[in-house]
Amino acid sequence: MKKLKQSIWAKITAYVLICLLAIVFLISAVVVLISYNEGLYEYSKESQTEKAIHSYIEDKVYYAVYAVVAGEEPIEIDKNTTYTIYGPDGSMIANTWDADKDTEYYKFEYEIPVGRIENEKYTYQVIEKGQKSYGLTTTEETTPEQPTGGDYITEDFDIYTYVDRSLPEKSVTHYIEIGVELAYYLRYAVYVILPVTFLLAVLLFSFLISAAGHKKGQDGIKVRGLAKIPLDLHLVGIVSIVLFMLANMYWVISYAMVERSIALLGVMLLSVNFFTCLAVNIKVGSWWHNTIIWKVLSLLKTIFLNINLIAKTVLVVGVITLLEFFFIAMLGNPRVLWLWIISRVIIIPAVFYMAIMLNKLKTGAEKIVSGQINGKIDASKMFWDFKKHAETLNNINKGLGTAVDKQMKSERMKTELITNVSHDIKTPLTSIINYVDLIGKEETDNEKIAEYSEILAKQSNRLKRLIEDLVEASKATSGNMDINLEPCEIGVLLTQSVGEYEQKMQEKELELITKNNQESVFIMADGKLLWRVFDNLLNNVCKYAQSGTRVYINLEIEANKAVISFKNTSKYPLNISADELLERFVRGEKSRHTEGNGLGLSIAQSLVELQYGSMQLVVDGDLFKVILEFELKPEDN
Amino acid sequence: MYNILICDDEQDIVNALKIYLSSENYNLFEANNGKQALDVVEKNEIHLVLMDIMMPEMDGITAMIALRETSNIPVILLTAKSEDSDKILGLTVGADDYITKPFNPIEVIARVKSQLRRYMRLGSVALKKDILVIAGIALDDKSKTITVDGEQAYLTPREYDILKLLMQYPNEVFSPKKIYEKVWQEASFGNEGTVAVHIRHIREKIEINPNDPRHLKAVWGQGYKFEKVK
Repeated sequence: MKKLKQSIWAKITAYVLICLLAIVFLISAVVVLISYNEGLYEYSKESQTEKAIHSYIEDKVYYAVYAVVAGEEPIEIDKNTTYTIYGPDGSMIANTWDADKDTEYYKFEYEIPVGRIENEKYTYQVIEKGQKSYGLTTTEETTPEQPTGGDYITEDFDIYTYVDRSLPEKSVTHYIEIGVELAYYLRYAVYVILPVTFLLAVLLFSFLISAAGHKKGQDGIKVRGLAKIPLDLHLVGIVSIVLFMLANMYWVISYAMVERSIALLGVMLLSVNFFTCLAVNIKVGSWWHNTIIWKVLSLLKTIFLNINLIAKTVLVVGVITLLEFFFIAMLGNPRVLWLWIISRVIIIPAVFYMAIMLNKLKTGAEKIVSGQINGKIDASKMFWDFKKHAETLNNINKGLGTAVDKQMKSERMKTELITNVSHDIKTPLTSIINYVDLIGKEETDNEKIAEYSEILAKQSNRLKRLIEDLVEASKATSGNMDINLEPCEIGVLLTQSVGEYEQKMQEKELELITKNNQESVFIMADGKLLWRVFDNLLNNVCKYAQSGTRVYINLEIEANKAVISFKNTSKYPLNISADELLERFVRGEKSRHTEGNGLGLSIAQSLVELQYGSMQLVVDGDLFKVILEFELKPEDN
Repeated sequence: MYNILICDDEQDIVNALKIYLSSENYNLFEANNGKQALDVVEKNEIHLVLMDIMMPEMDGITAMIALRETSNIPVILLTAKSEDSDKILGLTVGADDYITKPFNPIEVIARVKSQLRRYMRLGSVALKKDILVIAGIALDDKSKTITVDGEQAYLTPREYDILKLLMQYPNEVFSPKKIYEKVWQEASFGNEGTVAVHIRHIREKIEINPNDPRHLKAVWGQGYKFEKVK
C-alpha cells in the first residue's frame, strides 16, 4: 500500500479512472432523467419511439410549410418521412407522399398557423411557433420591413407526415429509435451503475486523499507543487470558475452534451485536486498556515507588534475615536457631542504623553539590556511616577555598569593568573621532565628505578599537557584571545585534518569515513582556532573510540548552515549525559588512568562559540556524536 | 668542536641542557641572564646561543636585539610562553628558531645541530645553480634530491614534486585541490585527501618535529605553504 501511495502512476490512473467513472455516472444520470421524463418506465418502447419521432418531426414541419408558403419547392424534412400540406381552404398545396406505396407509417397531423398582413404594397406572411417567426415573403422585390397597417389574418395550414416505420434510411429518426431502444435497455441497469460508479469514485477519491503528499524516495509527507498554492486562493479560483460557468449557463446549456460534459469534468478534476491539496496541508498540520488570509493576518500582526509604542497608540486611539465619533454623531444630540469633544481634548493628549514617556522608558531599558551601560534616560522633562521610574532605571544601569566592570576585571585577572601561573609551573616542570629523562637513561641494575622513572616521565608529560590545556581553556572561555575571522573552506580543513590523523587512526585500527558532497563550502572562521577544534575532536576520537570500528565525519548544508558531524563508537560505556561531558574535567570513563584530562570538549565548544558557531553533543548508547554548526559565509555580490 | 652558550636563570635547566649537549661533544658556556650572555659572547667565539626569554636583569629578547647588532650567530629561544605572538616576536627580532618549555631534549639537540649545520655550511651550498635553498632546506632539481641542513632526505617522486611546487613559491598558499592538479596533472575528484597524507609524510622527513612544523605549514581551511621567514 505504501508503494502504491508513493507511485505517481497509481495517482494518475486514479485521476483518469475518476474521470471515466464521472462520465459514466453523468450519462447514467441523464438516462434516469430521460427515462422519467419520457415515461420509459410506464409505456411501451414503440409508443416512446413514436412520441420522440413526433416531437422531432414537429420541429421540422415548420420549415416545410415555410418553404411552400414562400413559393419554393417542397423540401425534404427527413429521409424516412414524406408529407402532404393542405392550405387554409383545404386544397392540397404540396405533396411528397406516395399514397400507393404499401408501407407502414407513423402518421402525424400538425396544424400550422400562418399569419398574413396584406396592404397595397406587399403581402407579409409569418409562420409562428411560440415566439419565433419563421419567415416572410413580399409581393414586391423590396426589402421587407415590419409592415404597418392592414389586416392581420391568421390561417391554419394542415400538414400530414408519414414516417416509414421500418426507418430504412440512416437519418435522425433512425438514431432516435436506437436511442430510445438504448434508454429502454438501460433504464433498469442505471440503478446499478449509478451507485457502483459513485462508490468506486468515492473509493478512488479516498485513495487520492490518503496518498496525497507521499512521493517515491521521500519519507513522510511534504507539501509540493500545487499543494503549495494558498488554499483560500485555490478555493476562490475554483469557485470563480464554477460561477463563471453558471453565469454563462446559456453557453453551457445551448451547446452539445460533449462540451457540457467536458466543462463538468474540468470542474470535477479541479475540485478533486483541491481536496488532495487540502489533504496534504491538513496532514502536514496547521493547514491554515497555507492560506492568504492567515499570511495577511500574521503580517498585520508582526507589523503591529513591530511598530513603536507611539504609532501603536496613534493607531488604536485613532480608530476608537473615529468609531466613537460616528456613533455619537449618529445619535444626533449636540450636547452629548460637545461633551464628548471636550473629554477627548483632555484625554487624548494625556494618552499620547503617557505613550511617549513609556516609549522613552522602554528604549532606555532596552539599551540597558543590550549592554549599553553608559546610556542614560533623560528624566528632566518627565513628571511624577515616570520621572521616578526613569531615575530607578538609571540607577540600575549604574549598578550594572559597576558589576560588569568588576566581572570583566576579575575575568581578565583570572586568565592572567592562569597564564602566569602556568609560566611559573612550566619552568620547574621542565627540570622535572629533563631530570626524570636523565634518570631513565642512567644505567642501573635496579629495575624498580627504571620502572618508577617511566611512570614519572608519563605523569610529568601529562601534567605538561594539562597545563597547556588549562591555559587554552581559560582563554577560550573568557574570550581573551585574538580571533581573526576570514573565509575558510570547510572541505579543505576536513581534508587537512583527516590527512593529519590518518596514520594515528590506522594505528588505533579505526576506519575513517568522510562524506562531503558539497562543492566548496565557505564559512567565516579563524582557521587556526577551527583546526584546534577539529584537532581536539579527532584526538578525542583516537582516545575514546572502540578500535576496529568506523568513524564518520560528514559535511552537510542545512538551511544556510554548514553542519559538520563527527560520529564514533565509544570504547567505554557512556553512562553520562552530553551536558556533563561538556563540563571541564569530566571524562566518559570514570577511572582517570588513561590519557586525557577532560578539557578537550570544553575547549572545543568555547572555541566554536568564539567563532559564532554552535557545538552539540549527542550520546546515544555507545554512539558518540558531535555536531558543529556554522553560518555559511554570505555571498558577496 | 662548536661553542654553545646556554642562557637560563634556572640553574637546573642549564645543568640539564649541559648534560644533554655535552654528550654531543660541544664546548659549553653558561649564563644566567641577558647581560652575562652578552658578556660571554663578547669574550669567546660562540657558534650558537640557547636563550631563555624571561630572565632577571636583562630578558632574552633585549639581549638578542643587542646581540644582533654585532653578530649573526644562530640563536634558539627557549620559552615558557607558548602563545603564537611570543614566537612571532622572537623570530622577527632575529631568533633563528624557538623551543617551548617544557622541551623534549631530543628535539633540542636536533634543533641545535640543524642550526649549526646551516650556519656553518650555508655559503657552500648556495653557490650551485639549479638549487633552491630556503632556511637550510635545499632542493636540487638536477639530481632531484632534497637536503635538510646538508643531510639528504629521501622523498618519493610525488613528495618531491609537492615540495618543489611549494618551495618555488614560498609563502604562497596552495589548496589541496590545486596541489593535486599540478602534481598529479589530472583533475581532482575528491582526491585531495591524498595530498594531505603526502604533506604529512614530507613533514616527517624534513621537519624536526612534524607536529610543530617550521617550514611546511598548514593554513587551516585554505591549504599549505612553505614558510620563508623574512
